[in-house]
Amino acid sequence: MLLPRDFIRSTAVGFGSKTAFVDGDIRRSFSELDQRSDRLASALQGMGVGKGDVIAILAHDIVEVIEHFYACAKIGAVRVGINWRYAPREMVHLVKDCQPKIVIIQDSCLPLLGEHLDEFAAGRQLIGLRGDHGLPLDFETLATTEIAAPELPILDEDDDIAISYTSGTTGLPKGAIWSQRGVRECQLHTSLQIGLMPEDIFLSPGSTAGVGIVLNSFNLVNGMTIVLPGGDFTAEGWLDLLQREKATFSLLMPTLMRRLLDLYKAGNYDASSLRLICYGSEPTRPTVIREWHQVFPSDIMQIYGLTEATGGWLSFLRHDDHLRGFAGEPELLTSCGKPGLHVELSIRDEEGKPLPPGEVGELWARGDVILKGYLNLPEETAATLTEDGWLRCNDLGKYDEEGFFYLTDRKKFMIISGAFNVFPVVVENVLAEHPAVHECAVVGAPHPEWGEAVVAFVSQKPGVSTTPQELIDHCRGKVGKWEVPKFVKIVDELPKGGTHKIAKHALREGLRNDPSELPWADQL
Amino acid sequence: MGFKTILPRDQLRRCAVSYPDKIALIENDRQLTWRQVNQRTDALAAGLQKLGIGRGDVVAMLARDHLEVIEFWFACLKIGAVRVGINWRYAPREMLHLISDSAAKLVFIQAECLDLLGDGLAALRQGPCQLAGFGNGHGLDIDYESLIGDGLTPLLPGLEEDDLSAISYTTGTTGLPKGALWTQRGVRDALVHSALELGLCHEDAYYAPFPMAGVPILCGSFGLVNGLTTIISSGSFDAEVALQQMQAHRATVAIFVPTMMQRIIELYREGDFELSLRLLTYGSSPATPTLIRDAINTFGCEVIQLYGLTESTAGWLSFLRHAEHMRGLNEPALLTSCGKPALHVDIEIHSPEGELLAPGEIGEIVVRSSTNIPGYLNLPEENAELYDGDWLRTNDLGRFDEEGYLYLTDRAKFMIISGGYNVYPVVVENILAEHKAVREVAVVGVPHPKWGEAVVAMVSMHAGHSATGLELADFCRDKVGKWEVPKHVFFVDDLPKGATGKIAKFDIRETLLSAPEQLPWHLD
Repeated sequence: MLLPRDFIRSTAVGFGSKTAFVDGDIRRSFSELDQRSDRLASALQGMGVGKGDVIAILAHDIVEVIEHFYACAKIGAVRVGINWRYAPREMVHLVKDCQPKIVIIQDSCLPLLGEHLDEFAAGRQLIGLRGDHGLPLDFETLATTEIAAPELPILDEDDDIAISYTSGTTGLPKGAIWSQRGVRECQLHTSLQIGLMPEDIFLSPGSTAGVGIVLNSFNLVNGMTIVLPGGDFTAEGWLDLLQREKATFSLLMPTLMRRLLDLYKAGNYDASSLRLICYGSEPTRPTVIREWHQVFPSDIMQIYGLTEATGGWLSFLRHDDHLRGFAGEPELLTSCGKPGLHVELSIRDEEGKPLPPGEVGELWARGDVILKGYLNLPEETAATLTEDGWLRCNDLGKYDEEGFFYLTDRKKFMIISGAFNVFPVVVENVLAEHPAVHECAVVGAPHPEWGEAVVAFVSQKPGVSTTPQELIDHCRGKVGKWEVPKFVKIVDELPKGGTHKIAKHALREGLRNDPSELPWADQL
Repeated sequence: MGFKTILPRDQLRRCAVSYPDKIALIENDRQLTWRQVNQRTDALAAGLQKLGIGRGDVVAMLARDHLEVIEFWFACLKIGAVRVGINWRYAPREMLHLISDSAAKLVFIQAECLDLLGDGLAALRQGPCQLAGFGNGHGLDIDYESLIGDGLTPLLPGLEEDDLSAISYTTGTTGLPKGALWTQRGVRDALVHSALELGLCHEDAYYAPFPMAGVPILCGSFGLVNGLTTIISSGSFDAEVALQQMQAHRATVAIFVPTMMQRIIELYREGDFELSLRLLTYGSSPATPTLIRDAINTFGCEVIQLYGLTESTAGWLSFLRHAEHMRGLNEPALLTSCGKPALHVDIEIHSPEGELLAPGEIGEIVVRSSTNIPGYLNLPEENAELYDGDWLRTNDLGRFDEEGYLYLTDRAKFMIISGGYNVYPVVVENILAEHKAVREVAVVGVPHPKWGEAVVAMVSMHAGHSATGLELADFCRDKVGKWEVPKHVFFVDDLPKGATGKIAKFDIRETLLSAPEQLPWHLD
């Protein structure tokens, strides 16, 4: 029985001095990663960390994030990544929820906590990472100081390896518990389904705080080289790195493809090394995909995954399927493809009965990659996992006679903005705290750069008034940057359905059919 | 949790779900889609169940390399029957041994292989196992296509990862083939990890002209993990046919032994072939720099060398990668390495006392892996020797260099590899010793331009007896595999001996190597 930690060792044996990660000017070999994560693991054990203890990291997409993950995997500690884009109160929620013994913080992320630092750090040890962090413990020192090898506790496939936070429906991020097995199986089978090779050079989109950590360690199972964004992902940086590192494979959020296309066409970049790109399954406009195919020399694949499936990419729309789509079956370009060979997908009705092709229901998935449950949320866990091992994906969809799956809608009106999930209720709860807000509804509207943007409709309490800008400012710092409304419309009354529920569907469709009110309407 | 870890049969079913119309198997003008393979193997599996075959029951097949060999294997995987492949190159005595040793309940025999059983067929007709046939005019009671034609649906029994999936017979050291017990887990893990580390893709067409009775059945099964297309060689290897098949079916990846590569390169240069090869893999013996250079220049593809073992479910244990071959063109010593350990295995070099040896020191190669067999069938004494703790003893001698490259220095017990087949000298020696003229015998391998190594015997005769080389070779012909029959026999008055009176086989081989003009074939 192999666990991720065994692959850390075996890639060091099998690929040794080969570059495992490129991060700006840093080139870290497989052997170096193994050694540095060993030292960090030993140091953590010296600080009292044992199997099952949570160790969190708040950092950008840098190679030390991988080293921290590996150190945790070796000693059975549980890894938590804290997204630097979170608002301070969300960061505080995370540590209160998962109770890390130690938090590693990149120097540039310390100011993000602001006045919340004390509350965040209470009862935990902090390790500073890079730069002038001013903390008593330093990551680099721990990762480079010679020390006895870590004790390797006996681990089981079902043991926790990480808690991955994802937007919650109740207003705060919720932690998906991943198992050792889930991470291993996700890495093995996603790599197999995509067809990644040991010789590939994978230009990564980063996003290591959440599901991206699995993606960013795919080279554990095949020894390929991964190029990190060197901080945060930017479109310019992606093109520069593609050319500099002669990347052969990349994975992109579709919302970024438009911008990359424009930059690529305007610049003088060499993309000839690129053999394949995968893009996520957010609402994608086929025009972008079509143009990408014409402009870039690589193959194209769409992949659909979920935090609840250990990142686990569940379905794949292959290059050949795209070619069919371009050639006269455009509806295929709106499919998220066919199930990976490591999972089962099913469309279920309200009672959980399987539906035939063509009928819309909830998407369910089953396989080794499904999460163990949500941390401290037994009710959500019970509502998400069935007794026979199915995950209720919270997405509505259907499949056709050929077996292609289509996501028709997100349950609970989830918005995907710039690759981040936004549950409207999160933003609605914050808006409702404002003294002038009577009722509010948050929906996603099409946006040229972000795919979808958060838009709020608000009615005011009698005798109190506010402005859109005031409401936007009110949200800042209370929700993630991507959750702050990009546009607020103040109305007399929100439309209601028969049961007096706010007719959110009508609001959303209204914006889709007539986006003229949106400030970015002319770019659509 | 009602969910169980995936087994090969699950992957087969899912290939049919996700890629129903993609070609799974091609044999000349016959081809089957994944849907067809799934349906046909369902029907065959149900047919076997109707004949009383259940989980754990052994079923065998004597056939050349056709679609049916893979279908039969997949049908066994579905119902948990244990597959035995009988190599048509075996002598009748060996074929019958396999059937009785494995206690096969049913044997499929291809029509054109019936004669190969000689008198054995009559013996088999006496029972106890059921006989079934495929191909025109087999005349046996049960017919393969009729079973499929019944179109029944199999009942899928619960299976565990530890359940047996096959008994893979390999040349034994004691005179008769021995059966290595393969598990469900071993097969799955060998396929998953080998495909990942070779970088096989869904779009690949894989060509493996090896006899699928034994280990190479796994080469015919890679499609299970990613849906690729397998090209079946149909019959025995012929370089001209191989080139035609690779061209016709656009093989992108192929596996050969170096002697096959040599012949294919020569023919390719003479002929007018157009190949789509992107990766050429080879195993079982090292290739010369000239051959590697020729292969790379001729096909313009990448090259990987593999080292594997029946006892590790054919799972390849080490890989000498393309970049290392390129290095090897200037450092020929590297080309004699079989590369670095695969990521799913641990490899060590142990002394006869079981102690770990340092780089540079020669000892026995030992392996730790989830693909290792639990043991051999009916051979408790061999099984007692098979493991040292967790470590599988490979019987191969080797060493690591300082960089971590593995070298096979000599096969333990002087194993010979002729045309890709393993020959244990003792097997041939035992047969020759039965000849009335033979007093002493030693069998060694010497280089051969076509077979890599050839079996050569050195014999001394009893006083008053005489025999010719041809007579002795004929004597062996119906008792051992075709590849085990000596290609040349030297007659001497006395075999060279060591201090303890043991035949000095090492000296014999050195003598032959130093004076190759004594051999009837010419070496470059």
